[in-house]
Amino acid sequence: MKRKITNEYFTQAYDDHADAIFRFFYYRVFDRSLAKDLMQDTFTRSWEYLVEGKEIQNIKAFLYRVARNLVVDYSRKKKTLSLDMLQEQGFDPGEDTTDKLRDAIDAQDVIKVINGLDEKYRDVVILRFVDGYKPKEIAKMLEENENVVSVRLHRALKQLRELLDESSYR
Amino acid sequence: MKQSPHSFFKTLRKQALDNQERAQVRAHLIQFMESKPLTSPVFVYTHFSSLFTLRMQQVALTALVILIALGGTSYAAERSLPGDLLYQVKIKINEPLISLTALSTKAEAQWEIERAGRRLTEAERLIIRGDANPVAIAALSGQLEKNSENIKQGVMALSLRNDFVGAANVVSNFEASLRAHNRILQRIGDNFKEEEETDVNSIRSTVLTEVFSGSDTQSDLHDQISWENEAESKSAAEVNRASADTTIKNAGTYYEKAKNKMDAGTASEIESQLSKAQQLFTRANKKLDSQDYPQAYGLFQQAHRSAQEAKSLTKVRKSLGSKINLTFGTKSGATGTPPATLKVNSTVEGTLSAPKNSDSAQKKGNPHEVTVDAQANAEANIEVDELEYLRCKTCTFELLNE
Repeated sequence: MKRKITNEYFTQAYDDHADAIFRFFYYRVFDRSLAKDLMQDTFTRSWEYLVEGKEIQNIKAFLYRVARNLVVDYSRKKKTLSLDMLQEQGFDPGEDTTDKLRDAIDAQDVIKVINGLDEKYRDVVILRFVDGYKPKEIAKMLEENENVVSVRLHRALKQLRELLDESSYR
Repeated sequence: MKQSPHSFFKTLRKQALDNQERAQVRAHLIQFMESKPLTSPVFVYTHFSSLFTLRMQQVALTALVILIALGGTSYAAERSLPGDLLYQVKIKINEPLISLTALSTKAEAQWEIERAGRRLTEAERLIIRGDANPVAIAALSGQLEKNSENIKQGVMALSLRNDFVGAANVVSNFEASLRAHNRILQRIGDNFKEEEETDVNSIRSTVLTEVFSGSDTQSDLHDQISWENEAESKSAAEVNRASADTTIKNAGTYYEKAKNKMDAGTASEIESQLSKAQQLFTRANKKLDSQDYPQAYGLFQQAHRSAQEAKSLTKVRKSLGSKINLTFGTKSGATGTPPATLKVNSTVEGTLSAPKNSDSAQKKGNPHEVTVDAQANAEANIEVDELEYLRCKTCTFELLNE
């Protein structure tokens, strides 16, 4: 069923998907401010596409397509993650408060594990287990076959378990 | 501390926009949209259409047409086995249609449990019919592993929504179904000589591996609850209590309706499971009254699982048909002498002594040790022992002769 796009419809799409798209970027660029900017870009570029009079089949899938294209653009100027960057963002393993230390170790472990996952696996794992999308929805968003997504999820979890075992904090 | 996938995803979810950031970007976006307004109408497909794409609509419509044309064929296909003419109708039409009716994560997981059960029943019936072969059994085992993976994903999705009891119940239901099938396969295997048991052992190996994996997941889920928070731990225990109570009642009712068609061996096993469930429930209630919420939670979970296993065993036995005779007891060619005491030693903890002539399986202080007295409950105890052995990576399996 077709529905006419209005400003209200599009801002509702922002309310529904902004967090998930922010996380999509954060776990690739590991920079909050940059992830926020890229998320904003995703919505403004999508709006520009509509202003040109073009139709969208599925708003969620379209937003992720734009986001993935922005990630490709960004990866050409990729930064490497360092502990300095973590410290700039407020994680300081030098302090002796238990919670901050645990957060710093969690963050290091998480980043190491995320970086260790194949990029195709990272997408499906985050969309499924962090953002809560079903395999059918993920298939549409990534423009893949549903079986391919299911297989990827299976392999992603296997790789994730191996990475988590290797990164165990003692 | 080792991170489980559950806690790892929880950490990932901590990254989110705060309210101020979200509002700030929203305001910029609205300003941008007003500066570049839409000049002509543009359209998007709504959520209903996006769920049911044209392809799915075609599949559903085709299936409906076929169902109307074939009438009872679809129903007949439900009893078909791999290699039968109607098996493709069962797999490619009936099951996808049923999948469409699963609208929640729990319903999807429960349907995957059903599907796994259907594959196992097919394996059992093939073996009984004498039509099993390694290729067919391997294919069914492969399907079972896929179902298991889908169930694990559903469990993870539920736990990420903090529905730990829901997730634990899904795991318990799957485990109960697997254990029920394991018992049936064991009985079927008893009708064969050892050298003929290959197909049975092959599928049992897959089943037991999945049960072992389920135990790991239960342990992870248990760790996700904040037991130090009294309100949360009390709530978890109470929710589990309600769930166990419902399951025990449902299992009892289901068995009562079917028991006239049960063979004596199966009936005895089911009644034993139901009785065990009730005993566990009573113990759990006492723990709840004494505010020992973690213990109460664990015992209610075990009660739920026992009741669910009774129900699964009833269902599996019904699906095989009352005409099929399942021998309960010793293997053909066995001497009839009960096996000696079986003991699992942990190479990490060292050898611990076991009490002789104990009446039931019990754990000592060392969680790696299980001492089993193989008397009247020989088969059930051996099953427990296999699971404990699989669970403990460093254990060795010893048979001590008295």
